[in-house]
Amino acid sequence: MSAEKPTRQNPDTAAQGSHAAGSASRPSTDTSTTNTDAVAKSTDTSATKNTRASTLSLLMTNPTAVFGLIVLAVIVVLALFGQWIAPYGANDIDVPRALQAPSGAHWFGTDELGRDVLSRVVIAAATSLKVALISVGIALVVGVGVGVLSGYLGGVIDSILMRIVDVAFSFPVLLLALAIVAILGHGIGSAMIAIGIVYIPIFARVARASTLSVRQEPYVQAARTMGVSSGRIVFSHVLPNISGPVIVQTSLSLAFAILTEAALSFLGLGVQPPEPSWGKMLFDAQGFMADAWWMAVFPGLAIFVVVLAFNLLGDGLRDVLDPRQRTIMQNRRKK
Amino acid sequence: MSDIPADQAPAPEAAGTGRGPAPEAPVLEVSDLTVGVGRNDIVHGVDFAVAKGRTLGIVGESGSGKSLSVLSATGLFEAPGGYVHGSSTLDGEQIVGAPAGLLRSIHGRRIGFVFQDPSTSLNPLMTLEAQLAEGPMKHLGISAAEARERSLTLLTELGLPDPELRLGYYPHQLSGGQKQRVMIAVALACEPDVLIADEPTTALDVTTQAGIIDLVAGLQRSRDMAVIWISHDLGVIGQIADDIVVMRAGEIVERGSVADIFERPQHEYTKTLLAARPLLRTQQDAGAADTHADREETGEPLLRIEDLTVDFEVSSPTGKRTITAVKDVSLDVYHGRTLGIVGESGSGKSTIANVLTGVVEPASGDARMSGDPVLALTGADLKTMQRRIAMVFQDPFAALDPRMTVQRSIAEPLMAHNLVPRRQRRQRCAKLLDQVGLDASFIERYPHELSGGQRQRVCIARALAVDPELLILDESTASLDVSIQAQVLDLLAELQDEHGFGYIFIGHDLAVVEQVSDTVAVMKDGEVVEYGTAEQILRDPQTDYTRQLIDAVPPAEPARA
Repeated sequence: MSAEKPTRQNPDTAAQGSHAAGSASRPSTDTSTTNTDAVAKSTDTSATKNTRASTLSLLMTNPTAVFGLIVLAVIVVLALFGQWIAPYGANDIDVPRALQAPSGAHWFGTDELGRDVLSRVVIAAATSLKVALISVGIALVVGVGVGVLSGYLGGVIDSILMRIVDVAFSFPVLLLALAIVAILGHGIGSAMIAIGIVYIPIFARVARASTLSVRQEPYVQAARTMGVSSGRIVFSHVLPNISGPVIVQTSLSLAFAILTEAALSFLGLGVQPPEPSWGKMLFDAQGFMADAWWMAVFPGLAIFVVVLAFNLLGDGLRDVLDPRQRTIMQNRRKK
Repeated sequence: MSDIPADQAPAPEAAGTGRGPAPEAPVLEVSDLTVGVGRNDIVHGVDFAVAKGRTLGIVGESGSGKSLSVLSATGLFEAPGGYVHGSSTLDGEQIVGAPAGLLRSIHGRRIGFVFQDPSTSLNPLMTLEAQLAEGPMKHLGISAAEARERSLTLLTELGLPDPELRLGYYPHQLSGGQKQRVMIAVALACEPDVLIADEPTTALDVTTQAGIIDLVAGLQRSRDMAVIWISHDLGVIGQIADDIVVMRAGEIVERGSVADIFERPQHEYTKTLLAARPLLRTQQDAGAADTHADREETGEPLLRIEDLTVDFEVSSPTGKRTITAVKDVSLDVYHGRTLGIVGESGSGKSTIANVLTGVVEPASGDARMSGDPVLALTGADLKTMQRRIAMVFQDPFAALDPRMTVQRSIAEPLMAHNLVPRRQRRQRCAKLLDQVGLDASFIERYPHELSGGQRQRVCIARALAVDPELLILDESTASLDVSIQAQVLDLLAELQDEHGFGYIFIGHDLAVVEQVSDTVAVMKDGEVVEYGTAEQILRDPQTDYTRQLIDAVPPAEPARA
C-alpha cells in the first residue's frame, strides 16, 4: 500500500503545485481525478475510431442480445422460406390422422383436421411476424410523433391531443380494433392497421411523459438560448433521450400485437382461414385442450420465443444506444 | 486522536495530534479501511478517529472517497459487488461486517446523518412531526405524545420559528435552510453520540450556510457529540472542525489540527486547496488584491438594462396571483468588464439572465446591446441577438446532452446559425477546445467521460462558438469543487482579457462574485439593493443584507464557530 503511494501521487501533485505557484502553463486537463477521468482516458483511443462500428460490435458482446438476435434471425429465415422448410403443406388435411400426439412423423402432432402442427407453426411465422412488425411500426411512428409534439409544445395542442388519446384509451383494445376492422373491412391489411391504431395511445403516453422531463433539462434550455430551432431540438435532443422507454414499450407491444391479431383472427376479422397464424391456431386449440395439448402448446411456445427474443434484443439495444452504458460495457470488455 | 499504525505511516506530514490535547478515547475509530467495487479499490486503507465533543473535518474534491469512507465506516455503504475491509469501531463495537440488525440499532440511535440535499432527504408526504417522531418512537420506545414533546423542544433549539405550527407542516412548506434544520433535528432526535454531516451546507445559500454551521457548533457543545463534517470547501471546514483530514484519490494525504493545516500545510494538495478558497479581496494580501483597480469604465456600455420588471403569473386553485420576480432593475455592462450579480436563491438574479436570452418575457423595461434592442425580438433579430449574448449554465453535467459527443455539443450553435461549413466543423471545435484548455482528444468523448471542470470548459467552449459579445455566467462555477472553480475562474479571466467579452457573473457567494467582478449588484427579493464598484461594496456596504453576505464568507483564518 505505502509502497505504491508515491507513484500514484507524484504526477498529480506536481501538476497541482505548478498551478498553485501560478505557473502560466495551461492545464490541459483538470486536476480532479474522478473515476470518470480514468474512464475517459481508457476509452479515448477506441472512441475516436469509429463509433458506429463499435455500436454493433458492442451489441455482440452482450450475450442475451446476441441470443435474441440469433433467435430472430432463425425466425426470419422460417418466415421467408417456411413454404419450403415445412415438412407438410399448411392445409394438407388428413382426417384419419387427426389429433395425433407428437411423433416421428409429426413432431408437433396434428390438429383436428389432421394438419401437421409443426408445418403450420413454421408457415404462420411469416404472417404473425408481419402483423406484429407492421402494426407496431404504425403505432410507434404515429404514437411517438403525437407524444413528442404534445409534450414539447404543451399548451392547447397538448390538451387537445391528449384528450383524443384518452378517448382512444377508454375503449377496450379489442372493441376498438373490432370497430376499426368493421369500418375498413375484413382482411389481414385492415387488421394490421386496426392493431396499429389501438396501440398508438400507449406510445403517445410514453413518449409524452419522457418528452416532458427531457424538455426541462438544462441542455434543451441551453439549445434554446443558442437559437437552435425547435425541430432540430426535437430530433437531436428529445428523440435520442426518450429512446430508452420507447424501445422497451416497442418490445412489449410486439407481444401484445401478436396476441391481438390472434383475437381478431379468432373472431374471423384478421387472417382468413385456412391460412394459419399463431394466434388463430391458439384459439382453434381451445376446444381440444383436454385431448390435444400440443395444439395449444406449440403455437404458444412460438409466440413466447419471439416475444422473448424481441425483449432481449430491445434491452440490448437500449444499453448500447446509451453512451454511459456503452462506456461501462467497453471497460468490462477490456478486463 | 490516535497515532497512525506503523505500517500506515506513509509520509512525515501524516502526523498530528489535533488542536490541544484530546483527553477522551475516540467514539468512532476507523483503521485501515479499504472500500471498493468489483476489482477496484476506491478507498485505499484510511484511518481516522473522532472523540466526544470534537469535530473531524474531512476535506477533498468529489471522487476523493471522503463520503464513501465515512459511509462505509458507519455501515451505510451498499453496492452490488462492493466490499469493505478493515475495522471501524463505535465505542469498541465493530461496525464493518456487522449484521443488519445491529446496524439498524446503531443508525439513527447512536449515529445521526445529515446529507447534502435537504429537499430530497425529507419524505414529501409526511408531516415534520411524523418524520421527527419516527426515530425516537422506534429506537427509544416512547409514546407519540412524548415524541411530540421532544420534537417541539428540538425544533425550538434549532431556531425554527413557531415550532408548534411547523410540526404539522409538510417539507414543501419550508425553505431550503429550514429543511436542513429539520434534517438536523431528525438526525439528533435520538441524541446520537456521533453526527455525520455530509456536505450539509453545499446546496444552501451562503448566509444560510453560516447559520447552519453556528447551529451545529452550538448543538455539539451542548450535547458533547462527536461530529464528522465532510466538505470540499476548506473554508467551511475551518469554521467547524478541530481536526482535519485531507483526502485525495482514496487516500489521506495530510492530517492535523486546524491550525496545523491552515498555517503549516505540508502537502502540495492541501496548499492548492487553501489557495483555491474564494476569499474577499480585503482578506487577501494587499499585493495580490485590486488587480482590476485600474480598469475605469469608459464610453458607452455594451449592455444597458433599464427599469426591468418581470412578473410571473402563478395559477393556483384559489385563482391567479402575480409574483414580481424582478423589480425596476437598471444595470450596465461594459466591454471587457464583469458585472457581478449576487443574491440568494429566489432573489431574481437568474430571471434577469432568462430575460436577456429571450426565455422569459419582461413586463416592462428595456435592454439594449450597444443601442440595439434585446427584448421582445422575433425571427432573424432574435437569432442575431442569440449570437451576441451567450450563456453558461450552472450544472455543466445537465447542460450537456448525455447522448451527444463534445463535438456535436459544441457544433450545435454553429449549425443553428449556419456559421461554419460541415467540413470545417471538426477543426473549429478543436480550436474552441484549445481556447478553453482542452486538447483535441476530447472531441469524441461523451459528457459522462469528463470531470466536472472539463464539462464546464466544454460548456464555455460552446458559448464561445458563436463569437458572442456578452457572456452570461449563471452560477457557472457553483457546482464545481473549489479547486476546479479557481481554475475555471482563471480561464474566464484569461478569455476576457483576450477577447474583451462583457461578463454578467451571477452567483450566491459574494467571495466568488467579488473576486471576478468590476461592478457588483446585490439583489434581494427581486430588487437591486446595492450597486457599485466591487471595491465600494466591499469596503463600505450600505445595507444590512450586504453586510450579512460579507460576514457569511468563511474567514481566511480558521475561526471555530
